[in-house]
Amino acid sequence: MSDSAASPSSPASRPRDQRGYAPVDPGRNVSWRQKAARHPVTKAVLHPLITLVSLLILFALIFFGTLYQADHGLFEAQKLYFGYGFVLIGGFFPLPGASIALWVLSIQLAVMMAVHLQVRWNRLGLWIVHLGIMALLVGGFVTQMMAVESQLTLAEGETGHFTTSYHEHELAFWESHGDSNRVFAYDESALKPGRELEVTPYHARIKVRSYYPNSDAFTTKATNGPTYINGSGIGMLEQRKPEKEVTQNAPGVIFTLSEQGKPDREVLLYGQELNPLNIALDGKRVFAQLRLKHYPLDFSLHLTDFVKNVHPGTDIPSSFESYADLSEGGTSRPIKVWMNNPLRHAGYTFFQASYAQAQGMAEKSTFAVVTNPGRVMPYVSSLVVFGGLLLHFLIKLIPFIRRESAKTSNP
Amino acid sequence: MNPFLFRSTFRVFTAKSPFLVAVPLAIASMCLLGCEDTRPRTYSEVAFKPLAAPAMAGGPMGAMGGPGGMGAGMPGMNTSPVDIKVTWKLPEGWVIKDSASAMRIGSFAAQDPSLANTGELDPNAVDVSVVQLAGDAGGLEANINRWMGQVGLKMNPEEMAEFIKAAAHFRTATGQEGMYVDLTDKLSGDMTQSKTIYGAVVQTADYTVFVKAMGEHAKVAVQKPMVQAFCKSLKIEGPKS
Repeated sequence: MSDSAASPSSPASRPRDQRGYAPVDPGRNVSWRQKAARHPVTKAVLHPLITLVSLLILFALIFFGTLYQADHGLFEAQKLYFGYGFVLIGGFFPLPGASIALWVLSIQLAVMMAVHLQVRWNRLGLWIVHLGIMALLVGGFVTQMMAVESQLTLAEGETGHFTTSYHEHELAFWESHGDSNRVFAYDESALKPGRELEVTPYHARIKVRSYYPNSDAFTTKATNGPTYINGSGIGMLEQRKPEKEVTQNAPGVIFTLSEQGKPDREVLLYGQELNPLNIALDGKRVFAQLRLKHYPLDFSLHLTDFVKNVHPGTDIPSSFESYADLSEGGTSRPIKVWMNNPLRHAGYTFFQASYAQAQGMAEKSTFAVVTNPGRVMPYVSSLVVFGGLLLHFLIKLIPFIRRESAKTSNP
Repeated sequence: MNPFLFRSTFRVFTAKSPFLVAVPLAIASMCLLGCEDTRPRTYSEVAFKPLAAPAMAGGPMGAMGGPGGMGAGMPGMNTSPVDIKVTWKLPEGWVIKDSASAMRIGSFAAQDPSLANTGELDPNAVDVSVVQLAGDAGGLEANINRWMGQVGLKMNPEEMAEFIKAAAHFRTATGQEGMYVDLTDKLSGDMTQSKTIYGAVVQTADYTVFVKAMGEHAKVAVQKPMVQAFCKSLKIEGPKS
């Protein structure tokens, strides 16, 4: 059949291009999906080579990132290999971070679903499969954006009402109201030199002079340098190269504290000071500290006992168990956290992470605390993909059985 | 760009195609979500009360009445003064350094004995520090881990327990028991570590005193006997009850 003989009313008989698309007939009402599918930009975006290269990049990043993590720690590996930057494999071969590769794959998937996946009932299984994969990718982004990892260390007999970040710091101001503190805090990311920040509860303003992500503190004063207000007698900070293990960094900040009608004060805070600075602000006694970021809990954990079991006849630990009381809203219940058996409560997951024992001291237990709104997404998406594949199989199986039955009955 | 390609791209992406409009919008919103947030946080928290509350004892911070705010699990240094007096006998060849960290009560350059009394200063001399802190200073393991991190070493809790169990002990001139922390025979996994630490910890329920000698492997090894002599010469008096 020649092109000129093709009838517009019989699409099956119309000639196709190399990828199986019929040419656009100007006289027909062509949908935006058909137009978009034929567009060079769409074809370029959906090129299979991009998919293949992205998957190979992810494979390489996981392999080399795992090796890197052994020497440089989990955080540095995550930041370098799974973020939005570029990493030099072997010191010379550049690869984009995993987040970039995942974005490319997500965009490909979304565009493919939008323009190529046919909207027909017999494609329902494929739609479900693709939506499941999309849910997996979305879950990854939700985790990356919103998951918070922190820790809680308690000695036996201590009660924790908040968790602390592993490495992120905050500049916190607070007043003490009995057992409760009302805290006003800026994350370290806000502490950029030259930036002015309001301390609204105390009608004051700070101007950041210097912020060092890692620094050494000295009691001596810099030559001709200003005298800083500091609660530990620190007179000077010197910037240090960031440590390999980011939790080893000791940040420092110097800022000018201004209050209307009062002379400015130069303040120095060091991240390794355990005691906060006690200063007068707005006629009140206020505490200021550069400290690991706090995440308040709506409940409390009181560690009653920590147990380390060893294999019989050896000192090799077989298990670590933390026994605690979880108190919330006036009620309390005993809980147990041990290896691979975390406590899940109010969106938080408490994992048994570490412990410390010293002669004459109470045993200490450390929990890794994770809040991750995207936690269930991998499970949900796996089920959705499985359901979609099963449905697609059945959709194909039933006509096949019918055809085979027809062949058998009409040989 | 080819004008035709530009026009047709514009048409396709502005046609009735909600998905194609939604994709760039989603990307833009995700990028905005990832942007730096300079807004302050305000929250209420119940003040943490450490079991031994050593940080609040005495000193200029003693009048705070327990404001809390100490990071749980923070292995850092408690800078509050503890009511003890630490003195020592300086080994030959050690030079008192002018610039001391806020945490140090003693800071020395441990020179090669061959340079003793020559008037020469070794720029790569072993750095020796003495730090006194209240309470357990965050815990023995946490502080040893911190030292190890400074020279690129790591230990899991089991290895740490073994390490502490096997550590040699000594007594100070005033009778307190101390423990040597010898990292000189340990190498980091990547074998790139250039420095090592030989130190000691004297820990009681009221205070912890750290002695740390940090420098190049060979130089620290030479200083070991001097560090041991220095530790044994420590006189720790107090706290007054």
